[in-house]
Amino acid sequence: MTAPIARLDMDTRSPESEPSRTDRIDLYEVGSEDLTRYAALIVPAMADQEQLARHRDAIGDYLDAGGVVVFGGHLHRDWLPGAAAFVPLSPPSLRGYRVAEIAQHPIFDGVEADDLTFRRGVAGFFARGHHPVPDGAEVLVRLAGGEPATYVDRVSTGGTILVQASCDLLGYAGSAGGTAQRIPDQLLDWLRAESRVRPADTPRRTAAAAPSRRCSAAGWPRSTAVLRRTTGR
Amino acid sequence: MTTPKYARHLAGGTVYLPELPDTDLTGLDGLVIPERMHHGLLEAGARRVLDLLDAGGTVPARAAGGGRGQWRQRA
Repeated sequence: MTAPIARLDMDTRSPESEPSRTDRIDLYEVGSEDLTRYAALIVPAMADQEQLARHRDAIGDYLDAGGVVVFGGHLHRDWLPGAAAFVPLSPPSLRGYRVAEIAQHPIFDGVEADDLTFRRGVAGFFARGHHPVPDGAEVLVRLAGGEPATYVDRVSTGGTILVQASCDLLGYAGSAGGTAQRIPDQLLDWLRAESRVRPADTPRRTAAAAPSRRCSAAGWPRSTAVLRRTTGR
Repeated sequence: MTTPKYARHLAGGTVYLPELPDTDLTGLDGLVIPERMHHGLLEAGARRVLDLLDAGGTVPARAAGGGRGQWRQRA
């Protein structure tokens, strides 16, 4: 039996509106959930990255056990191994937002560049910048200026990390994306094939610990104190 | 919200939502609740929001950020 794929949920929508293709884990239960029950974890753009930073060891353990973590958004906290903070395109422009290269890869099979660049005729949803790529990672999509919009990192941990600048790749379900509608199903298939996690591979962390790996990488802001969650938008 | 453009209007600073239940808001004029707040955590901190309202504070809340909680029932 294939392990389910989980989406870290921010409890902002009614249950009826959620797609059923993934399980839901409340983001604030990450420290007490056995993540190795899941083949892959999908972290949406609006996730509270401060919370993720406080549980970065649990995420690191999950990855070292062979798990897959997908993040689409703007990284601004140090919780994802090997990753660096989002770099926005400056100045923003249609020319800069254009998708220029798509690698041969199961996630993007049959997907046209313009269907990534434009959504209902508007550019910028797919990527409004990039995350610097770790050494040894594989770039899947580049923007017109050569910026890596999407990469896969199998080097930084024992598992696999997929980073997408700005958007949630599952969000391409529906009629607005043209050939990009292929992405959600292809992504889920790839995640199931990519995952090597086995439930007994790693000890379970249950403590809601403060980050034990300090945010030492250059460019990562320290935690700060209107009512907020710390998302990348 | 921490950039000067906005921060000059938010002299009370920001409150991290998971810490809301342990934060006394009654010295503030108001609290802005953005959209897409975690419903469960907002509910957990509802007492603090109600205390602020009872003290005469103002609470502008984006519709999608309000959740289904007890404090909304006073709206």
